[in-house]
Formats: sequence, C-alpha cells, structure tokens
Amino acid sequence: MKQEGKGAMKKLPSLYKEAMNHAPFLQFNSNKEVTLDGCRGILEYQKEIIRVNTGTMIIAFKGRGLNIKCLTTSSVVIGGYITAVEFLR
Amino acid sequence: MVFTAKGKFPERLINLAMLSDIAIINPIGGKRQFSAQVSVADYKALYNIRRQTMTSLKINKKVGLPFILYKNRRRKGLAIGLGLFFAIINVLSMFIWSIDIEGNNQVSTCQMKETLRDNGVYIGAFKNNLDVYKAEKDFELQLGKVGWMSVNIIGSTASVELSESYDVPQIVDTTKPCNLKAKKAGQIIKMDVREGQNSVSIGDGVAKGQLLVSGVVEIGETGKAQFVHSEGEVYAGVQTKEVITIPNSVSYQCIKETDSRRMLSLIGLNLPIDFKQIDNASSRRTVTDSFVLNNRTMPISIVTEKNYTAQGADYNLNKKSAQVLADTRLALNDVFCRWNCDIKSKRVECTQNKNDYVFTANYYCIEDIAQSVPINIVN
Repeated sequence: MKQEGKGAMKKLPSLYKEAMNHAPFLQFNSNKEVTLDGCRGILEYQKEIIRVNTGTMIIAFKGRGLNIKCLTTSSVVIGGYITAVEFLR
Repeated sequence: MVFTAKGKFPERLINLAMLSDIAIINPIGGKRQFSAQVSVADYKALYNIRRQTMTSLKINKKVGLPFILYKNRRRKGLAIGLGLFFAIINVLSMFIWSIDIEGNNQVSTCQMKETLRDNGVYIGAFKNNLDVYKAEKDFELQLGKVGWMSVNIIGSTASVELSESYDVPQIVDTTKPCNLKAKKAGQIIKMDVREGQNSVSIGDGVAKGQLLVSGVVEIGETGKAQFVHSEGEVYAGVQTKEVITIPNSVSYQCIKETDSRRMLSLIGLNLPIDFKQIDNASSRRTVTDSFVLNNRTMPISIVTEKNYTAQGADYNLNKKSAQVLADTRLALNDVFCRWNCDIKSKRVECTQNKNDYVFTANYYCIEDIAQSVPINIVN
C-alpha cells in the first residue's frame, strides 16, 4: 500500500503538467495588455468585448477601446483598458 | 490597403486569415464589422476566403508604391524623369563632391587643397581613377610638413586627416664645458650666474667677445681645476644704432578691384553666369560658396571671381611724412628685432640729403649679452 501511495505521489506532477499543457496561458501587463497563449480563434471582436476560443473554454475580455495588437495561429495580444475577464466552459 | 469587412460573423474572417497565414495589420473591431490593413497580395487571398464567412469586403484606402505606379502609368515623362534622376545621381556619385580637411594647424587649408589637386584629389575627380595611397605618399613628399595623413573616400566626400610634423627643438648638451662671452659691447648692470666662475663684475665695461663667465673652475685651494658648463644671464647696458633711409620720391602700387564675375561650378566644371569680358587683370581671387544641404556639401557651388588691377602712383615726400614712415619702420624693427631688449632710451636724428632722408635711431637698451662658447680641450 505504501509503495502504491508513493507511486501516485510521483505521478502527480506529470499529470499536472499534462493538464497544464492543454490549458490556456494568460499573462497580464497591468490591465492594459494581455497575452493569451493557446488561442484557437476569435469569436467576437468589438471595442467593448473580445471573446477568444481556447478549446477548453471561452475567455471574454471586457473593457474600453479593446483591440488586437498581434494575432498568430496559437496566441493573441489584446490591448486596451481591460475591466473584466470571464471564463466560460 | 485599408479595408472594412462587414457581415454576420466577421471574426471568422480573422480566424481563417490567421490559419491561411494572411497578415492582418492593426485590426479595429466594431459591431458586426472590423477594419484592418493588408498587403495587396494578401487582399487577393482574403477576397477568396470572404465567401466562406458570409462577409463583404470594402476597400477604404489604397496606399503604397504599386498603386502610385498604377495611377501614374500613363505619365511617361514622370517615368523618364525618375529614371533620369536616378541615372544622374548614379553618375554624380562617381565623382568627388567635397573635400574635408582636418588636423592642419600650420599648413593652410588652401595650400593643402592646392597640393591635393596636384596629386589628383580635387572636387570633380573621378573616384575610380583615384589612387589614394599614391596621393597620400606624394602629398607627404610634396608638402614635407606632414607626420602622417590618410585620405578616405566616404561616399562622394574625400575626408583628409593629417597630423603635422614638428621640428625637434635644439637640445643643449649640458655635459660639454663652455664659457660665457659677450656678444655685444656694454656696461654690466646685473649678473645671474648659475654655473661657472665670474670673470667680470657689475659696473665693468666689456668689449665684444670678452670672457664673462669662465667654464674653468678652481676646486678650493688645491690648485686643481674642473671644467663646467657655464650657465647664466649677464645683463648689460648696450648702445646700438639703427639707420633707416627714406627716398624723397616713392612709387606705390595701388591694387584696385575692377570687376567680378560669377560662375556656376558643377563638380569642378565652371559654367559662366555673368558673360563679362575682363581685361587688364593683374591678379584674381576666387571665392567659392558651396551649397550645403543637411550638413552635406552638394556638388553645386557659386564661384565668384574677383579681378584686381595694379595702378602705380609716384609721391614726393616731405620731412614730416618721411618721419611718419621712418617711425613706423622703427616701431616694426623694435617689435621684431629688439623683442628681448628693455629699451631705456631712443633718440632719432634726421639728416636730409639730395635724394633721401636718413633717420638714425640711437638706442640704449638693457639686454642679456652672454653667449655660450664651447671650450675646446686639446690633449
């Protein structure tokens, strides 16, 4: 039993890493800029709201004067005055 | 190219463009629309995608060289002018436009430019024919006062950097024994002897060549002597005379500017602006005003040629005007020939001859009369 417990504990970090690999990675620079890694597409693009599909969830950035500064196949940089972030599953 | 995408789902267009590697620059979102910038090639690809997204594309602004060229495709003169412009720029860049000289203190810039011209470095010289290393060597040989120099061709500018050579000062060998002798006759007023044995004392009158300080010094009362390098200053009151002769009639050459003409200089080629014919010019001076744009000397300059003629005139001098002339010459003589003397008195006498005035100036000065004379030791 002891040995099994130890094995389960050892497996935990690798499982955590695996889970985190699929999760979107968000990096905020104050509330003026956010970099999102793991972007699958833009669902809504307006000055007040930008909704981004990440596969596992939809992230909505709300604010004023929002704009997409940079867009690649896997990441997006959103600028503007961000007031709220919503995570929808 | 600036465009606006309108439709039910314009965001899909962004996603599809992203997957198709279409660079959408500066997208600005709105309600069921967005505007952005793309290149011409990307817009064509985007136009094919827009059918899948049920959006319509509208071009707002066409910016860039392809559109400018397309707009002006019928203006052949513009194309020819543009081609000529680049051709002229290309041809002009083969020549030297300006010469920058740095590091000259003793040698004048004008003299340097003349010497550089003799060695092939001048405004308008063809760069490909320029042998910089040969020019540097020849320049050093010709001018003689150059320690080192380098000619760098940067674009159309010949940048000349040089360091002038300096004459080695005369080094006094203090190990060689010598005496101090009088170079002029006079009465000694002050003696400041640092090394050697005094042979005269204050108040003594000395003749020219007389021993003042001896380099042979006795060692106490041993009867032995040693040779030393005599050093010091011996000040004496000296009477000297200066004679200046001023002729009764003097002929002067008066230089007068007659006329000037201007020329447009294009990389050394002078094209006249004023079509004037100038005769009887004894000397001429050229002034070049270069056209500088953004701190760069352009190959265009205005050359003004000023011509001068010499006009002779004879004057008869009276005693007063001859006196003024003599005083001026004596003053110049005092400055350049008696700069190391303390002039105590100066008396000028004038005698008039048949053809000239003779001014005799009698000076009484205090000056250092000591002159170092080496002792020749013969075994």
